[in-house]
Amino acid sequence: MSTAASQSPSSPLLIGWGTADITPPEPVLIFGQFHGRLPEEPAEPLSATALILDNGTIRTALISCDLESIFTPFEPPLRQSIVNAVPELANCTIIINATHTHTAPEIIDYNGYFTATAHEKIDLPVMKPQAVCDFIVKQVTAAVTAAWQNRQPGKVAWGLDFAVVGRNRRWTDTKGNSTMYGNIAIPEFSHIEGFEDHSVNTLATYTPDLSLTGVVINLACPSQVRENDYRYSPDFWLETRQLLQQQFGQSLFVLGQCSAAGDQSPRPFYDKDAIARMERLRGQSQRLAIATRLARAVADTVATITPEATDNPILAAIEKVATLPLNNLSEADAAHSAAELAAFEAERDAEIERLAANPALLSEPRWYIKLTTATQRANWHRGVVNRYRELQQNPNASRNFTLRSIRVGDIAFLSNPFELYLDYAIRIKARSPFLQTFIIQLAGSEGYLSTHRSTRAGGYGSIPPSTPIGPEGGDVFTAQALNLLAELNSRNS
Amino acid sequence: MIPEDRKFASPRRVTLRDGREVTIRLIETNDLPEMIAFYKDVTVIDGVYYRGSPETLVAGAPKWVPAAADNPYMVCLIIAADDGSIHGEAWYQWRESDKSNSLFGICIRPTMQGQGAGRLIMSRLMEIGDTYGPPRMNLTVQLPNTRAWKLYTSLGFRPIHEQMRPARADAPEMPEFYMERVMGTAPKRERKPLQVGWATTDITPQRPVFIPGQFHGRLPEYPAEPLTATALVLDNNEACSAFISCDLVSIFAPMEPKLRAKIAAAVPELKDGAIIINATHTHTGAVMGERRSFLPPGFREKYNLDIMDSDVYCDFVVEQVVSIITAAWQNRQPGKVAWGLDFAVVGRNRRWVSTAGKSTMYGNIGIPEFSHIEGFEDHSVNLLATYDTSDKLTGVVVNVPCPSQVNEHEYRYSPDYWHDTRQLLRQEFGENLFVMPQCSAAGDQAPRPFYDKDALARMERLRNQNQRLALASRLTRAVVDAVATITSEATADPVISSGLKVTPLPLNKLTVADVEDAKKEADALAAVQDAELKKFEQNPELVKEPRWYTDISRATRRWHWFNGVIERYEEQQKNPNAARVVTIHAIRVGDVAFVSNPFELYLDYAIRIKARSPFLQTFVVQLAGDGTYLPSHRSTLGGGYGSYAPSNPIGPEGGQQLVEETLTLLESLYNK
Repeated sequence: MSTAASQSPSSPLLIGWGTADITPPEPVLIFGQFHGRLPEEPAEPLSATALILDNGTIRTALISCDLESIFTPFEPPLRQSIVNAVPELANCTIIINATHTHTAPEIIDYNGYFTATAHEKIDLPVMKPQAVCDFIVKQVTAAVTAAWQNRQPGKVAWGLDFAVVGRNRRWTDTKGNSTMYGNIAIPEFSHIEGFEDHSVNTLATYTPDLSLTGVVINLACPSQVRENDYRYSPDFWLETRQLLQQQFGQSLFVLGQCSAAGDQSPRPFYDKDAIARMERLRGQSQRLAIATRLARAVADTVATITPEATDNPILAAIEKVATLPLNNLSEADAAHSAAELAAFEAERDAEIERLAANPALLSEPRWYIKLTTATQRANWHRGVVNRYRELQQNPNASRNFTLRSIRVGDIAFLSNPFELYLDYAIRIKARSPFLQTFIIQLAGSEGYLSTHRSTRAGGYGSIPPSTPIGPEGGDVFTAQALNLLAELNSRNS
Repeated sequence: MIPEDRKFASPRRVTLRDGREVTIRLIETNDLPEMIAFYKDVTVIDGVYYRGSPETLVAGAPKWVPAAADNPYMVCLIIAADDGSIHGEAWYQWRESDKSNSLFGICIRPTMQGQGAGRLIMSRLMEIGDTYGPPRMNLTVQLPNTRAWKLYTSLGFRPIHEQMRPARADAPEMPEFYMERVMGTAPKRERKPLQVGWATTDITPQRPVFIPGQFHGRLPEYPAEPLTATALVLDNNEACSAFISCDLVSIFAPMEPKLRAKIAAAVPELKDGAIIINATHTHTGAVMGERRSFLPPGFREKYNLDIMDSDVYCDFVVEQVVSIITAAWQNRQPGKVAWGLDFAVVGRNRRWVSTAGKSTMYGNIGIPEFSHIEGFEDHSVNLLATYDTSDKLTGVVVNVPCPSQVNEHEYRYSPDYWHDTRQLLRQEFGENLFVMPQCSAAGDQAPRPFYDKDALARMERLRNQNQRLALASRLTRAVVDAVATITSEATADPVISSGLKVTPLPLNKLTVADVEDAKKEADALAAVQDAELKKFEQNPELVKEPRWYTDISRATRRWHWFNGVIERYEEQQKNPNAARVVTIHAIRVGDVAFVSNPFELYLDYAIRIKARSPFLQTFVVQLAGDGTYLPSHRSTLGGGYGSYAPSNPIGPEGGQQLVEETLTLLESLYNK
């Protein structure tokens, strides 16, 4: 599939913003760790934010959700629901991304923390998967509908600044083996594996008289400072929104995008005590410290670019399906995962039986940890076993992914469904024909896309269970992404 | 020793590593025959590092032994076996009048070396010295005598300055360190409220000097932005330390020993503390030293060029820096310090790796062959702030892993972005603010982005900033934010202590291919030099042409660079364990520590040090010396400028040793 459109605008730019609360009304397991978590503390509201840009010929939308991923079972019904609610958006490119908060609900039918069997045998005190999906689809659709209905003439401007937020989270030992997280204060530590990108790309929207109405903020860091909390939370995006709304007014819309950050997180490896001390002296939590840096970068950018705001930007969009080869798997990979799968399935089934036999156990604190961990681990290894089988039948087995790209003036947004390692984004940014390229990861739910150097070194994020697509697929993705951007550029230049 | 004082030095039985028991005792006049036997066994090389050749020792023994036994201003110990034979001596003596200028010596019989005998007799000597004798013990150790280095430093000796030992009958002139140990007899110093002293001066050359930083030389064509040196002294009576930062590309080898010797003479009180002297690595400073010479020997004189002799510039900088360290000492006022950390995106990694695994410094990465940026970036800004007693900011030490080289090709003297940073900080905090820049480990960093270049340039244009000002603005904001946060924590009573380590680091192993490549390059460059020399001989008027020196200076510098490979290869052929001795200085101020190295140190090493340092913040200070690139292991796999033989006298093995030695030093400072 390939759709494309370009134009010279015939009418003024219309800008519409909408937002909606997507905090589940009833308990849903929180996604982001191998074990599930049920909320134990009051939620910090999760939200979805939508921006529509419409110049009469081209309409396009950006949607950001405080979710861990744009889960596979959720995306098709959401896109259908949006088109049903706003038929004018049919055949328009809509990029839907997750902020990758690790404190939001899962939306995964029966392949998530609880299997269909678990739901059958245990009276689980959680929303049914379909109900979660329906609720969030309804809410996001409401945000998009509101954005459509609220469209007003306006202007856009773009800019770039820096904030130290995302930190590389993989380290390599003196033997060349990599690990995600952990203590690097050991003689075996050699180096931090990859790079860090502290760019903050901003697209700002204004009323015709240059009152700021919203900002799209793109940075290479997932929203997971408090990734182990037992409550719903957008993590650092909550404080970022609050600070920006304090500065620019409560009606400001803030749309967060996570750039390529598969190997990034908001967690430093060194100077940890020194950073914590500065936060303590400033009366800040780590989240607030990050939000402060981020909000300042955005405020500085806005102050700089506002005079450049235009109501006549080129708008264009292209989406294409990229076919990426499955990651190569060895017999040993498959054998290892098969053994793990069997063990975790046995553990999972035993746990289901134990809980089914004694429902009183569900009153115990965090009764679900063992079950959800076993289930998720089994899911993780099942992926390897299934992919290996597929590769045996077809050594060229591949997966199709839709890449979406939107041009706004001199800049472009480019989405991908992965937790994309940063190196890929640098390759794309360096070769992109656009002044700024906003890479948007997790516009989907496809797991890590690791680099060659990371794959050689292994470790979580760069081993077969983590990586349905490997670095060869990453190379293909990079080439396809650049082709897409070049095409987008050529159609308007 | 006089008889009544001999109670301070009673004999002691000790056990050597091989199990032998010996006695360490004071020398006696009747030890003469056995002493002569001992001296006869001294090796020539041990004699070089001691009082003289075996023959000299034997000849002088009849006079030396009775004097050593009876001199009231001397303690002389010997190692005596149970059969009466003597296997070593160690001694110190001092001037009667003021107990100053003590001398020291040690010599061990070859058959007892490697058994711990040297350490045992030295330890006993120090034990006695801590209760008897002068308050300070001095010695000299020759640079090649690395075993002695280790022993003396482990016993608490610290180098005061480097000097040349004059040639003797048995040995040529050789470099040596003058070392000192404060003995237990020294009066205890009481910790008092902190005194802080600052001073700064201009070190811009008064006449043209070549600008280093590129292979080709540059002579100034535009008015200078003043190059400066800044000094900070911290003194709480119990300890004192000093920092000096210079707008130079490095602390050139000819400058440092001269400077340290003159500082020791001008401010003797600083002898007990470390002094960290660093360069900001501006590529628009001025050059000094033969190794950095841009012209062949005699060229300047032959054509009567208006270029200052780099030795003269060296002397000028030394005088200027000595004047500010003296002023900083004299200006000390009661004050406070505080420390903190913030972030500013300044240094960017400047090496990229191709899909074939080859690394390159700089260049265009907007190509399909680009795989990734090789290493890491560190946007920490470490800050030490000083205040007067009413908490008014008086100065800042700003440590950032980025060399000062935005406009690194300019033909004028300039501190580069530190010029703008100083101006912005002074606008914020007052014209009297002192700003001391330090470059943290940044061998693979530069203030130059690989991507988003147009977007960054546009933001700078919209802000009416040039790239230097943009960097300075970010840096200034980080400093201002940190100061606002930490001022309430300022203390007049920080722990101040210092230490140093002198350690040999192995030379990077060179292959035949390395040296052959280097020879080819050096030969070709020598030919270019010859052709250039002929060209000027035929037409001396050429020296009046604009930038007449570009080709000859490039050929000269590059020849030196490749010839370094040839020299090191030959050195390794003679001695596979050839090494370079490196001095690491460390200064503790409260919860933070500064630790220096002489290299353009790749960032990975600093992360290793910071991660394992016991201090809250560790300010790694690179180019506190004349060193060049010290590449990481991963970067040498990719090669390229900065990470291949001509760039790397010391390689990744030496780099890891530097890390370990640095951490040992930091641990010792922390546990003091």
